[in-house]
Order: sequence, then structure tokens, then C-alpha cells
Amino acid sequence: MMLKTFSTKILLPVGLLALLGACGGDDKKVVAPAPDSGAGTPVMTQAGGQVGVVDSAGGSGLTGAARSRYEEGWQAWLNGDLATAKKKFQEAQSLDPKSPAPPYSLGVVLERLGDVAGAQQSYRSAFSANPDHEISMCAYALSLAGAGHAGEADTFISDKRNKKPNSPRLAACNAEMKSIGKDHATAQQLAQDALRMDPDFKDAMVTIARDHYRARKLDLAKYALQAILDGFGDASPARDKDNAEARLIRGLIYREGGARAVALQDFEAAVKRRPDLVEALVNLGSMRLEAGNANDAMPVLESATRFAPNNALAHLNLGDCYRLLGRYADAKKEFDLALSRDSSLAAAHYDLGLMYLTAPTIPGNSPDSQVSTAIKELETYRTMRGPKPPPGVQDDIDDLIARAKAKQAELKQTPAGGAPPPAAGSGSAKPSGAPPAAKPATPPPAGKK
Amino acid sequence: MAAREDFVRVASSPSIPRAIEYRYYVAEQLFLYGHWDEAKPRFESLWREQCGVTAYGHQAWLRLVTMAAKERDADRALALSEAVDPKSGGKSCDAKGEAEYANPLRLEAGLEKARKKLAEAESSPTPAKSTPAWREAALAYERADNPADARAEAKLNAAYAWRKAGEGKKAALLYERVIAETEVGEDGKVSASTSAKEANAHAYDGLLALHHETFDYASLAATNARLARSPLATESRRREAAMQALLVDAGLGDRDAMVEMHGVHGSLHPSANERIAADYRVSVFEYDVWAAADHTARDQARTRATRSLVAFVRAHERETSALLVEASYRIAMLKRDAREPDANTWLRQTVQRRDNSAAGEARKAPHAEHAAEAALLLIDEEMAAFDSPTRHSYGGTPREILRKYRDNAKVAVALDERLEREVVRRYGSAAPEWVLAAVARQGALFDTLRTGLYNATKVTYFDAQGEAVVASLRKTNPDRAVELEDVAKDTWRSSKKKELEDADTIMVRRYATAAHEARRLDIHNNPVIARALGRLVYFTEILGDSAMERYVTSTPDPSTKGATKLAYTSSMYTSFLRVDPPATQPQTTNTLLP
Repeated sequence: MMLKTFSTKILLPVGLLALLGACGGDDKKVVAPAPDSGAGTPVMTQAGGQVGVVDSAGGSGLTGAARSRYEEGWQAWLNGDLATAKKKFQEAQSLDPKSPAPPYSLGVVLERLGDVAGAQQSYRSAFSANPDHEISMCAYALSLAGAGHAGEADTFISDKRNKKPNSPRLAACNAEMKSIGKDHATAQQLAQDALRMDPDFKDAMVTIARDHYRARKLDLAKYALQAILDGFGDASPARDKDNAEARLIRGLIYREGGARAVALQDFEAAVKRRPDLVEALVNLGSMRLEAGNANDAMPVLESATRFAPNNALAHLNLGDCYRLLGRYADAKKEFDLALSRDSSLAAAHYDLGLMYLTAPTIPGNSPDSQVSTAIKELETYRTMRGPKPPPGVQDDIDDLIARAKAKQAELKQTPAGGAPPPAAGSGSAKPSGAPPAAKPATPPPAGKK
Repeated sequence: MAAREDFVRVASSPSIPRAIEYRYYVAEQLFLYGHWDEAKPRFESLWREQCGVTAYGHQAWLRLVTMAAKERDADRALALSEAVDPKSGGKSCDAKGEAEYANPLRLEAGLEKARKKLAEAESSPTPAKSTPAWREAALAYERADNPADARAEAKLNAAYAWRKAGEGKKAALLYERVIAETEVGEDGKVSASTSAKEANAHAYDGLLALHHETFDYASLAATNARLARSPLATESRRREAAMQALLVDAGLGDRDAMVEMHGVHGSLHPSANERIAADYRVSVFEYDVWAAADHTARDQARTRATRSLVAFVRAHERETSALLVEASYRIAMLKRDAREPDANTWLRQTVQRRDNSAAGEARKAPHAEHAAEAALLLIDEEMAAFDSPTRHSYGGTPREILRKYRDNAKVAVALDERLEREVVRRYGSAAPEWVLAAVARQGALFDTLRTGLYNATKVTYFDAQGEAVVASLRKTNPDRAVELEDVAKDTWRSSKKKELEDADTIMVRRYATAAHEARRLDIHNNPVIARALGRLVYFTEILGDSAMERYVTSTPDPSTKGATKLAYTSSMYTSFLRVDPPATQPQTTNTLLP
């Protein structure tokens, strides 16, 4: 008898181990997908980076001048040059208005540039040009939901699903929207439906994992990610071992749990596969900064700001990176950009305050104005964060403000021309009249939950 | 054979009984000696001629069926079967004799065809495009299904092929049918045959795999729960299924289902290790609920979590599992959160349970980290008393100040040694985070000590007797009085400077060791180490770069076991200081099309 069931049982491990290999990489030249590539086939660079996916039409389908413009736009995108990419995709669209590929790609670029209305218009053009262009329908719905029009997005995608009830992409897309709306039960159901329609549909697998992560069902998220990335032995091999988004989610879970080495590997692998995956870039850069590696963090964070010029966290981290590298003018610019994108970012004020307090000199500032700015920024941070720092954050804000004020007092008592250095190495009390040192060190209790 | 062939040739009528017997004999000899190509046409003509006439017709048909089966020629076997079935338009030669073979033959032939379809589907070079092949295989197996097949090969493989074709619902229905048919036979009793048990096990494995494939964890838990109660499964398989169901139910947050499976698991004779693992998962469930609870539900959740974990520890009091370290640690954290007086008892238990575990898991991370943290917290209360500002508030004469300061220094040294003994050396590399936190805390002791002295500015340079002398001199010999006052001040400043330098040396060494090692080991977000970083930045301003450089570059580098010293660059600790930006949230990010 030849029985084709799993002879090996799949057992859920209590703890998950990740045996991952990852490294950075420079990807530029794109290997064109085969003409008959199925929907969802990754588009790779020669170095192994995934820079896109094939749509249901199996590529852009463009020819002649339109194709040339499109490919120029594509190259610009790969370099993170979104302005040129936008221009080239617009040209390609005008040369072949019937193709959905240029307006879809233009929509992606516009969305990254913060032109949400323009992006939605482009997505609409794409699925108007080709009513089977599901990727652009999904992008449109997600863009609506992201802009706060969840109801409209839901109506739109439900209507499309009614017309195409057997589309795994639309089902998975609907699942993602339900997940964003915190309707986790429906999200799971829809994603599973998508997998029943196409057991190999990667987006649905990732949606399931991401929804469990959002619902804080981390054990289930980890099981799902193990199924995608590692599999459960020979009985159930990895479903998509290099999936960038799955790597990103697993990296986030590891990072939260303090498993920093494996988190870093996952973020690196995600970025290698999807150089445009901004969240992975930001997390990778942020972790490198935490490890004191500002030099390696810089290109990653610069790439993040190129691919998502409107992402406040990318600018915040890049600003911090420049601060640590002593590039104070650049840092200031990035912090200002971060705050212009998200004025609720308290950490930007902290970083600005720290920079003004600790930098030897910041161009365009007198010592007095520098320390005044430090105090102002640090106090803004303290006001914004509330009476206590967020859980797990150690900001020493009271100490920093006290130090800034002490420095300000010192400056006021020093004749113009600069403050003398503190009583370096004297070991004795500060010069007469100097404010007292900070309060006696009273370290916090060691415990943390 | 040749003589019999001759006889057949010369016999005028083929109906002569001996001639038919000889024809069959010759065909039989060719069959027996493997000359099937020659045997087949002879048996074919005998079957056609003698079917329903003599017994040789049925015998010839049987030989033809045998050869088709041996050659795995399913089409031929099926054609022969149908040729003698009047329902299919055939002619029966020997109804009774054919019945014995026809049904199994049809079943086997159908299965054989289905197997070929399955093999074709499996060998498809483009898996993404193999769906039609899987579908054909599934349909072929469904056609070959026969209730007489106790092994349920057709149903199981049809289910497998439907799974591969993306028809999960069809696959699930077939697996469910096999489970239902094997667990309760036609007579309503549980089947005891080996075939039925094997089919049942395969159906469960297939169904569980299907749920895995579709990431359907609710169904996965439910199927495991059924398997845990299956009358056909072995006890070990049922126990394993109960544990799996328990784990998934816990992940789903389904407390009732988890507790129910815990009961089933416990009734299936688990080993001590299996039992403690199951008990711990159930007891820690309430801790997870507490950790995720908002402030309105927090107190109630904490009470439940504490009760659950304490019950776990009591139930396994005499065991040495690493899970007892975990449970004790979590109880201690819950009790500290509620400021309950016996929190330290549980901290001590955490340390002791780790110590009692002679080897193995409890001595490794994360258990060792939790024990190290507990050990540090146990000393922390005494250190908090030492840190009290009133203890380091100095006044009076230099002698009085220095006496009090040196008394405090002795306490600092004693606490420093205790931290070294009870945390740093005890846990070493097994618990790097909390060992470095302990090193940072050692630095904080000398920080408190030196800061108190640093702030001591209300100094009475002379005692009552000396003050009287100086007061007298101010009237009689003011220069001498000033001279004495200057000497007293210089002596005080010099003594203070020396004491501060001694304390600074130890303080900066400890802080720097913690900071540098934490960075090397990528340890982040520990509040004690973060505090040390802040103090290093502060002291860089207070003491100046050159003093910091002197202190840091005389500190042995733990990464080289002291063979080299730590490196220092100007204002380097400023770069260590940062506050974490908000966490990102994963979203679907649209990407481009080629």
C-alpha cells in the first residue's frame, strides 16, 4: 500500500530555534522573470534581492518606448530615487495608457512620497485599465484603510470579492484589512480561505502570522512563521524560507523578546530580500545604533529615508545616527523632518536636547543659546512623555535637565569667551559658586518585570 | 508439448475434449515457464471459445487476469473484469468463481490507475502548475474507493491529492470519514484490526498536516483534542496529542479548552518531565494574562497568576526542574508588583532552586539570568538603605566627616564584595545581563559614596578647642590665624581629593566595565546598566576627559580576561546614551512590479 500522508508527525515546539544565515548585499541588476511566471513570483536581482513581485499578467507587458521608460523608472526605484521613478512611470503611462503596470508602480511611488490621493488615483487607473489587476485593487484598498477610510476600503474590497470569489489575493487582502481593524477572527478566517483557494499563496501565510502578532498571540505567530520560514522537518518543509515580510515579523518578535542576535539576522535577511522594506531597514539601523555601530547604521537608515521620505521614524533614527557621528547640522535637519512628519514624536525632542547638551558646538549657536535649546527640548520631551518614562525606557531626563541647567548657570557666571572646563580630575568640589553636583546617585531598583 | 501440439493440429474438431485439454496444457506450460507473450493469445482464444462451455474457459480467464495483475496492467485487468460482468455487458463464464476475483481485481486495478496518476502529479516539474494532475489523482482514487478496503488507501490518498490540489475541504471530509469509519465500525463497535488502526492514524496525521498547511490553529487544537481521546490511538500518541492541543489552546487564549486538555494529558500516564511541562504551561497561562492586562484588570489577574504559579511550585516541590526556577521568579515579580512582604522569599527560592539544580537547563539562560536578577534584588534592599541621602549627608569637622565617610566606605566595600560573591562570580557568563547589572550596581555604590563626600561643603575646620585658639589668635595674631585656617582648609581639600580619587577609580572602573561589556555583548535596555551609562556621561563632564581616560584605560578589559585595558576616546559615553524611539508596527508594504 502506498499511503501519501505524513509519516512524521508535526509537533509544535515549546521554544522555537532559528538557524538562520543572513548577510547584507548590494543588489542592482534585476533578473527579468520568465514570461510565464505566475502571480506572486518574486522578482530578483542578481545578488538575490527581491525587489518586486510579478503581477497576474506576468510582468509589465509593455513594449517599445513605454517599456524603456518603465525600466528606467524601475532602475530609479532600485536606487531609491523616487522622484525620477515617478517621472518615468508617468511617461510610461502616457505612452501606454492601457497597461496597468505603470499606474500601479506610480501609485506605489506616490504613496511612498506621501501623495496618498495621487497614489489612490493611480491604483484606480491601473485596475480600470485592466479589471483583473488584483494587486492594484488590493493596494488601493490598503491605501484607503491606511488613510483612515476603513469602511470605504471594506466596501470596495467586498465588492471586488463578490465579483471574484475565488481570488486568493483579494481574500488575503481583505484579511489584512480586517486585521488592521482588529477583527482578528475574521482576518484569520479570510486568510485561511485564501490558502484553501491556493495552498501556496504566500501573502495569506504572512497575513496570518502578522495578524497573530497584532493580536499579541505570539506563540501562534511564531508557529506560523516557523511554518513559513523553517518548516517542521521533512514532513512539512518551509513554505517560503526567504520571505522578507515573515523575516521582518519574526525579527520584531525576537527583538521584543531580547533575542537580539537572531533579530538582527532576520532584519538583515529581510533587507537583503526586499531592499525597499522600510520597517526592516529602520529596525536594522536602530539595532546597529544600539550596538554602537553608527557607521554601519547610516547607509541602512539613509536607504530607509530614500524609500520612505515621509517615514518619521526613519528620519528620527537617521538623525540620531548623525548625532552619534558628530554631524550635528545633518542630525538637526533629520530631527526636524521627523517632527514635521509626526509632531508627537517625543524621542525627537530628547535626541535634540541630548545633542544640544553634549555637542561641543553646534554651528549657528552660541554656547548660551545651545544650552537654552537643550533645556527647552529636554523639557518638551519630559512634558510629552508624561510623569514616567514608557515601560522599558531609561531616559534619565531629570538628570539631563539638571545638568543642562547647571551648565547654563556656569555659563552665566563665566565672562564672555567661553566657559572654562569643569574641574577636571581635581577630585575636589567644583569651583566656589558652582552649582552642586547632581543629586546623590540613587540607582533604581534592579528589578524589572 | 510438441506432441500435444501435433495432436491438436491433426484433430479434426476442436471440440474433441482431449484436444482442448492439450491446448490448455501447452498454454499452461508456456505460462509457467514465463513465455507470457506466447501464452496470452492461447489463453485468450481458449477463454473466448470455452467461456460457459467447459471449465477451461474460466481457467483461461483466470490465467489472463493473473498475468495482467502481475504486469500491473490495470486497464487490461479492469477490461477482463468487465468482460465477465453481465452488468457491464459482458458474459460470465463461471459466476461463482469470477465473483471471488472480480471485485478485488476491480479495486486493485482502480488503485493501480490512481497510483499512476499520483506518481505523475508528484513528478510534475513545475509544482505550481501541477494542480490538474493532483486533481486527476484525487478523482482516480475516489473512483477506486471501495468499502471493503479496510486500509482506506483510496480515501487517504484521495485526501492527500485533494490537499495538494488546494481542495482542503474535500481532503478534510475524506479524513473525517476514515476517522469516523475506523473508530466506529458498521456494527457500532470500535474496530480492532491493525489495518483500521493504521488507517485511523494516517487520517489523523493527514488532517493535522492539513490544518498546519492552512495555518488553522483552532482546528489543529480541536483535532488534537479528538485524537487525545481516540480509542484506536496508542496511549503515547494520545498523550502527545493532548499536549499539542494544550499548547495551541494556550496560544489561542482558550483557558477552558487548555484546562480540559491538561486533565486528559494527566490521565494518560505522562512521565515526570511531560507532566511538569504541561503543568507549567497551564500555570503560566495566568501570568501571561496578567502581563497583558490593563490597569483595571491587573489586580485580579495578578491574584489568579500568583495562585496558579504557587500551586505549581507546591505540586512539584521536590523536583529540580528549571521550570521551578521560572515559576519562583515569576511569583517573586508578581509579589514585588503588589508590594507583598514575602516577595523576597520567592526571590530566595529562585536562587536556591537554580543552585539545587546540579546541572542542565536551570544553569543556562534564561533561568540563570532570572536567578542572577533575583540574587541582585535580594541585595538591593540593603543597597537602597546605603543609598539613602541622609546617610551621606556630612557636616562637622574634617575628622568627623572623614570618619563617617570611611565608615560608609567600609559598608560600600562590603556590599561590593557581596555583589561580587553572590552575583558576579556565582553566575559569570551564564547570566551576562544581570552580572553586568551587578557590576554597574557596584559602581553605583561608590557613586553614592563619592557624591556624598563631593557635596560635603559645610565644613567646620576646627573643633571647639581649635576654634577657641583660632578665635584668640584672630585678635592677637591675625596673620597666624589666617595661616592656620589656610592649613586646615588645604588639609581638608587634600584629604577629600584623595578619598574622591580612590572612590572615582573604583566607580568608573565598575561603570565602564558594565558599559563596555554590555555594548560588546549587545545587551540593551537593562535599567541598571542604562543608569550606569547616564552616570558615565555625567562624570565625563564633572571629572573631565583626562581623568576619565586615566580611570578607563587602567580598567582591565574582561573580553581579554584582563590581558588588555579598556579603550577610551574623548566624550565617548555620550554616544552610548540614547532613548529608544517608538517601535515600528509591521504593515503590508506595496512594492513595485517589474
